[in-house]
Amino acid sequence: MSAKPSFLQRIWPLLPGLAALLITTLLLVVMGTDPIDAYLAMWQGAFGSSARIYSVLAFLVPLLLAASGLLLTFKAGLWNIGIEGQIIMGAIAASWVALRVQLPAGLQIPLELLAAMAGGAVWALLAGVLKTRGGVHEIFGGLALNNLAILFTNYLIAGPWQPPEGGSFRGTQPFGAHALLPLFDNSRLSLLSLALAVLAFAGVALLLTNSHWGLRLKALGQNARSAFLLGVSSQRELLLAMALCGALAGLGGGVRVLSWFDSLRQSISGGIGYLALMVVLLAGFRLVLTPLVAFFFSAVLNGSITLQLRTQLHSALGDILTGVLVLLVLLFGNYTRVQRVVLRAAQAARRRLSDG
Amino acid sequence: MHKKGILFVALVALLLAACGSGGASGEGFTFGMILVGPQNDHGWSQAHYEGGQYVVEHLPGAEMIVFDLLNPADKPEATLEGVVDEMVAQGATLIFTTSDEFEEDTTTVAAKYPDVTFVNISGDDALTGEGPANLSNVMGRMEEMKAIAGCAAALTTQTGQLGYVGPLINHETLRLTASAYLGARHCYETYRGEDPDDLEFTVSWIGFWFNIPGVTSDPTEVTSSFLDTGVDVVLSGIDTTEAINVAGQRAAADHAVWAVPYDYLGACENAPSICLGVPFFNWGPDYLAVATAVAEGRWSQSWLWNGPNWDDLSDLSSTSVGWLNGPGLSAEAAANLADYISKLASGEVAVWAGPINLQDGSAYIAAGAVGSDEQIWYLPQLVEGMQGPSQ
Amino acid sequence: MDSTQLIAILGSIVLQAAPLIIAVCGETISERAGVINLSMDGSLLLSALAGFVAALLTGSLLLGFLAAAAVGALFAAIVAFGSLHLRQNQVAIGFVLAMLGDSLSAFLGQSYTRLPGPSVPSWHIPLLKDIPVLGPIFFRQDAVVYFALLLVLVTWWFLFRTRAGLELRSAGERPEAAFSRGVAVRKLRYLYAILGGALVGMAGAAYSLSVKIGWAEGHTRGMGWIALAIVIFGGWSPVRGAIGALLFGATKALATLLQRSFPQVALVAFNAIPWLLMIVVLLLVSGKLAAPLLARAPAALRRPLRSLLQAAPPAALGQPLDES
Repeated sequence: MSAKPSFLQRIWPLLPGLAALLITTLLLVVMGTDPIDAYLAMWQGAFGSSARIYSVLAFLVPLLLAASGLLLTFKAGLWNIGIEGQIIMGAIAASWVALRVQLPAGLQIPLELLAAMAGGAVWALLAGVLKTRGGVHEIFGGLALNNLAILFTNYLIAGPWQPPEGGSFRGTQPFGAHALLPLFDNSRLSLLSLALAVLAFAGVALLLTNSHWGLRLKALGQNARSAFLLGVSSQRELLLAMALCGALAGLGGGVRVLSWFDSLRQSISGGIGYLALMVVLLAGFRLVLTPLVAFFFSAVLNGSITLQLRTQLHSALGDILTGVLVLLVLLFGNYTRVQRVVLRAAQAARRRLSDG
Repeated sequence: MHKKGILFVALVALLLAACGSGGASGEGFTFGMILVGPQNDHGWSQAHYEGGQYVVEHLPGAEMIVFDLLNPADKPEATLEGVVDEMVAQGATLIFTTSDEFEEDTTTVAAKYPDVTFVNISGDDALTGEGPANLSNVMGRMEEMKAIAGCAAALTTQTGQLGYVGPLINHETLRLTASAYLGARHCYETYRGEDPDDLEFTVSWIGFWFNIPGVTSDPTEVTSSFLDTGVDVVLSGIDTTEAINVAGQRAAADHAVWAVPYDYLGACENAPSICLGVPFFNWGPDYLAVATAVAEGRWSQSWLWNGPNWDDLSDLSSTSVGWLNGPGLSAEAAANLADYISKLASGEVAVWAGPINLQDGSAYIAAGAVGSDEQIWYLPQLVEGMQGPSQ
Repeated sequence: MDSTQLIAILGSIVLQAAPLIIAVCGETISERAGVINLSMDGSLLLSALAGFVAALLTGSLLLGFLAAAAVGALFAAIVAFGSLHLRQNQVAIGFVLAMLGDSLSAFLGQSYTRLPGPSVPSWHIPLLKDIPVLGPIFFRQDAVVYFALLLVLVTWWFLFRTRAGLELRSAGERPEAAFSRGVAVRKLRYLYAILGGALVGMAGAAYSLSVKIGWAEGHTRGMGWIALAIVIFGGWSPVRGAIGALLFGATKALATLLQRSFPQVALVAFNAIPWLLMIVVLLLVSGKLAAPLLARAPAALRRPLRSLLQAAPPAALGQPLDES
């Protein structure tokens, strides 16, 4: 390999983006929609007015919180797919305080948010213990726990937390105004929650780059054996990483019920945890990229709502755009690996030609 | 407490209906249509979507903006408020929110946009006074149609066991399911000469308006389970078509089973030969009346619970709800069913005629009395004789 | 409930488990060769759509199943290429494909929602159908069920009784040793990952053309993850996996039956059973929990119990092998 990067190597990181755009454009053309109209609608849906921008930021909060948490668990080598359930349990715990506890103004919301973090952390620890003590892979333990969290929500809104008019799986009755996060400018954005998300991300970044614990976690993620040699008690580190991730995800769930909605509802998360996994994969586990990618996801998804309203195309197009992008970056993002495969294939072809 | 309200509303409805026709113009008029399921679900959501299309056809120049599949499981990034924001930004002055799921949020958002008219389907906030002045409710008076559906099932069953695939439990679903049972009971006794207490009518609730994998019970499996355990006619109360699909598949394997779908005029298409008929919503005329009133600036708040055109239950220009016989109904059953319909139309027979006890045995409607609108709308439980949970 | 009804219910369980059985066999083959195809949930959805649409447009059920198999094979090929050639994480690629398949199916399937369409006709097997009890449960079904049952036997025979099956397993257990003996490990892994993926695709079509006919958004959502868990429960054996799929179907059928007689709130408890069961079963299979339990069992029972409960994954599952 040459020391000086070639032109191709320099533009390489941009290519997956272009290819993903090309594929979605093709889909649009096949569906008979003018791609320019479609992308314009998405742009305007994300940034067309201050209200849209607030909505992008409001959706960003739980996504960024969850993604920050996942940076920790991925660093420890864990596939915390149970993050979806951790968001939901956070939402449930926050709802419990909002519905059942009445405190002075300065204490109510902090307690709700703390409960949310505790709820998420407990659910994450459960997945963690299933792995460390029970030998159940965190992907399957997590999936089961996700579904149990969804069903627990249903139990609560159809059972003990049923609204007074009864029936329906719609949700609990709206929480009192004192229990809800203050909203910014008639939108669903809570500035407090945005500040917390930014703080949480900064904390995770600090932890991973500037702490002994971060170093040990990394060792653990790279190789369980070398971590053992370093004297890292793997179980404790893993569980701590899970608990912290769960707490952040749970906080995101709390923000969902206390500002995005005003009550606990069925499917309170609806897949934000899985989206956060995609965010971290696209960012390639890199700290700096994570918030940017999360913002990009939120903008695309919000934009796809406007896309659907204007063009009647399914808003899943936004998920396709981001999904194809993540896939291509995962497959072809590493220039040197791709180069090696191509070179080998070329060699083999040449050999075959000269043989024949 | 609601009686006066209902009378008043009925009056408004009559007035609205009276001035609903005539060459109104919808130039520059835009309305929004928000659906909980897909717009082509062959059920609840499609019926609303086509109601919106009816408005576009009959109010020249009117434009419709549709948003479907608005539920947090399918679209976590979308909220009713966000969708309404966008619709209003695109010029909508009237917005239909077509699900019980949207009731609370519609009331909240309506307060945010006092100059936009909101119509929530199946709610009662305009009746109870919880909603702001720019919010109306519309619902089709489906109860008699459900009774006709139950009657068709009772006229057809060979095993004497009917199964009802219900969505979730609330006042609306309780009263509709009970109406189907009351119709079935009446016809089993009157036309088949059987003891109505021998008719088994079982309800299985899936847990939501439609199937959400992993969250609700799967209606495909619920229907299979019914057909495995002796039920030979399944009635659907959910938004989608699984019940008739499974029954159609069984019938193709030479089982003697039938189905009665729900909501959408074309729902029999999925398995015509075993479809006994469909009780359907025809939202078009009511939506047109509301849209015309808004476009002409003479709309006022109302809570509409409009019934069928008894002269012709399938006249799509006038009836709010209807019944359409399916190809699976035998000639003899069709004749009996026509007799039942004519008696309902003349008032000779009432679906909710006492004595009716609730499922727990307590008296609800006395012998000789007929249930009031309020008693029917707010039915607290299933009625006596039905099997399946009430809460 | 009388015996005819019980037999009818058991028959429904077999029908509803058939696609799961097919998918579990496919994934078992792939994982035995060393490739985890985690994309199954998205792959099932997209192939269910592809199968339904292809059969609807061409009128041919066979083309429907072929189209679905092609989609499943494509997904598996992407996972295989990403891991075997590009050395990327199989789990990550599979997960992204699971998400992508879901969104693609929602987007592309929009105009096919709830359309009436073709379905596999039921066909009773002569003679076998008249066997008491077993006849009505297993042999008065449709081709999908017979295919699933046959597939279990063929997969088992192939994996454990043929030379090719031995090579397949060696690629997943000791790839270095196999390679040094002249087995083309990478080629085999490609082959069986793609074959397994094609079977997963056929399972998708089995849903949309037989078990849950038609298409709707999220039609099979969740079943892929369940199938992956059943592969583990099955200890990477098709026979045990099929039993797992049937047991899963039985718990769901039981829940459906019971919920009629309980309040709505209890619905939640019944729907939670499969997931609780998943945790319990995986705990038992992993051995960490089972070991102390086994230690208390009578000595004579220990061995059979252990082989019944525990299972270890192929040693080199998910690991790349450098052949150069």
